[in-house]
Amino acid sequence: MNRRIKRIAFILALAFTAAALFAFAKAETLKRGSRGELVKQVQTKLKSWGYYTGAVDGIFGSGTESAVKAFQKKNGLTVDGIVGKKTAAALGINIDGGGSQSSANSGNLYLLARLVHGEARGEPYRGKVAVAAVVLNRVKSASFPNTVAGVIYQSGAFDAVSDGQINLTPDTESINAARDAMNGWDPTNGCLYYYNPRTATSRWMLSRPVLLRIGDHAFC
Amino acid sequence: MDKRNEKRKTEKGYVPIPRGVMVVFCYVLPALLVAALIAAGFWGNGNRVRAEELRRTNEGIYRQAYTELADSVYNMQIALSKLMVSESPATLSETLDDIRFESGAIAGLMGRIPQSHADSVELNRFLIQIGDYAKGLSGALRRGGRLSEEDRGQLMELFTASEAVFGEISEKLSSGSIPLSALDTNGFFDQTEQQEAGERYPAIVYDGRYSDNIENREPMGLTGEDTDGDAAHKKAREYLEDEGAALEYGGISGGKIPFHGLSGTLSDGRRAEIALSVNGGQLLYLRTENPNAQRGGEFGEKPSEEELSRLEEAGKAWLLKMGYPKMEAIGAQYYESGVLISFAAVQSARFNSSNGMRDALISEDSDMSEAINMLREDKNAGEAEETEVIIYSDLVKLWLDRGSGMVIGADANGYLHSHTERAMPSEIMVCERAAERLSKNLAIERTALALIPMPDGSEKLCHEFTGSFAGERYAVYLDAETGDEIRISRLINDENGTSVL
Repeated sequence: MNRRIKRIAFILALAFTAAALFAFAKAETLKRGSRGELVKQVQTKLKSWGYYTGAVDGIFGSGTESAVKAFQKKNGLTVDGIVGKKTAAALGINIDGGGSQSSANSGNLYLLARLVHGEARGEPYRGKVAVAAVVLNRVKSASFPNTVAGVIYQSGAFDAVSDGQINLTPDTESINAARDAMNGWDPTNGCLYYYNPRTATSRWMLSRPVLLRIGDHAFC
Repeated sequence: MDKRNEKRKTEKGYVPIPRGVMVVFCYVLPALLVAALIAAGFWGNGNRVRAEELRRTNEGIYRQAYTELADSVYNMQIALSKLMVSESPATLSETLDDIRFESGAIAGLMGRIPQSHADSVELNRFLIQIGDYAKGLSGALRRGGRLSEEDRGQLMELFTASEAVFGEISEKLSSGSIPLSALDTNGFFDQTEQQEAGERYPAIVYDGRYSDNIENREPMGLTGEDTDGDAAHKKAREYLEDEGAALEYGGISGGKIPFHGLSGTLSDGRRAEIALSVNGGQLLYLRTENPNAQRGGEFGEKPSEEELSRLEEAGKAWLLKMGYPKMEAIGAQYYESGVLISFAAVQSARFNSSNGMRDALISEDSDMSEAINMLREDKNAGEAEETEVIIYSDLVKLWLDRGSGMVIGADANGYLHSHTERAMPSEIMVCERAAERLSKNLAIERTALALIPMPDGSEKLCHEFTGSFAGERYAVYLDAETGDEIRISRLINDENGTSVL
């Protein structure tokens, strides 16, 4: 009896180890049952953006799966609860190499494109350029930080930063919009602020005179 | 026992619970529950400890930023106080440089504290402008200038105001009433209070990159009468080169240059958006897009010299047709299916060329006979000759389709803001003489005359020397009148296009 139990335990341990090794070595998708550092990264990101309330324990359980689904739904991804390449990229995690995004993508252009994508991906192209132009107008203004990163990450300045959508992978249009703005196109005519009149609640912002509207955004 | 159970089953009609099950229910399950409870307690406590660590780490980062901010404001205030009792241009310049560096540090720190930009916008502006002002004064002192009474009075005012700002920050730091959470960002500098109390920080009157008069400068390129919607429709069709365009008028938008907005569809099916200034009906920007065009890839392939040259010519021809008489291509960026080419205005001017005789005569180590020779040469330098000057502020940017060579987008914002006929100096140093002042490391490839924008909003006529050193390309700008080195730009030409650093 004892020997039988030991044998079963040994087989189970072997199977578990093999499964864990397989999951780690493959590392192309993370799904229910996955474990490890990458799962921890996913949980940390989801938790910081309010999708996940469980423990950051590196175990992809039902809670993590639900959080991934909620994140996918909100970010327009296929809702399957599996962290594949697209979901990982949207989370800002590299599941192939296990590291963060490459340094080549960390320049001002890419950061600006990520903000544009997070803030205005449903807007017309001109509206995307306008969002990027507002950031650059702020960089040039004495009233704001004097770097692109300083302006984008200034406390409470952009919703896409606080809700994590800035970490989505920008599409070509967002990258081009950021380039157009960096190359000088300013459809806002020098504006320093914008808001969505349907969702804005700040009295200070709403009190500012609107100079133009592009898509859903009022610029001032 | 079994017999007793059998008896109970028979007598009372239920099956007795086996002993093993009893053990599980009475001992194992409660033990597991207790163990789970203890584990949950440990887990919860672990989470609490981690959350507390995170909170403290965050607090530490924010507290560090606030403390460094207070230090920098204090250092700035001390430097301002030293200016009050300083007379030597060298000391004044050094102290002003200190103020500028502290202002730079403050700019970074203001972005790092968990403070709503709405609450800190005026303080940010005030502290940045102090640094910008100090930079301008320091530069003027280095060039032999002196502080005026107005400057001294203004510096005194800034000293007093910065003293108050430092007092406020340090008081809040010492009392612990600072927001230390990214989610609790309101109230530290309290913009609302400030607005109610009126102006809190003194306005700084100066010319500099961040000064109010530069930021609020009126556009100079607007000419003509105000236009209405009908005139805008007509002009839009001219710029779009399509009399049959179905355009919808979107009304007038505000901003630095109020404009008519129109959008619609062109005869060939392309979508179009165009903005025209209310004053004069001049082009602000236009963009056309083929809805069936395939887009893909972040950057296009780098065009060949021949292709770029062909596109530049197409752009120049379009500009000429649209009323921009003399424009010169100065750089390009490559997109997936198009090229963005920047064109700068060119102005013709006549100059009397000087060999720099005055400099040679006043130079201590100059040879007198050389100076006399130069005087002779200068006398014979002859009549004013017409030269073309590139005006770098007067920019029009064109997006051209690489396949068709058509203009698919344009942005004339820079041109409208700055274009006007410039007054040029009558006499400039000849290019060859100015080139003697260049670094010997620069292998000159090309020279030109250029009017470049300065941080204080003015412009400076310069000899532009484009050349290379150690495989990298540079543009060096020397003041065309004095030969002083004004600016050095590093020119990057990579697979994305040309850029200037």
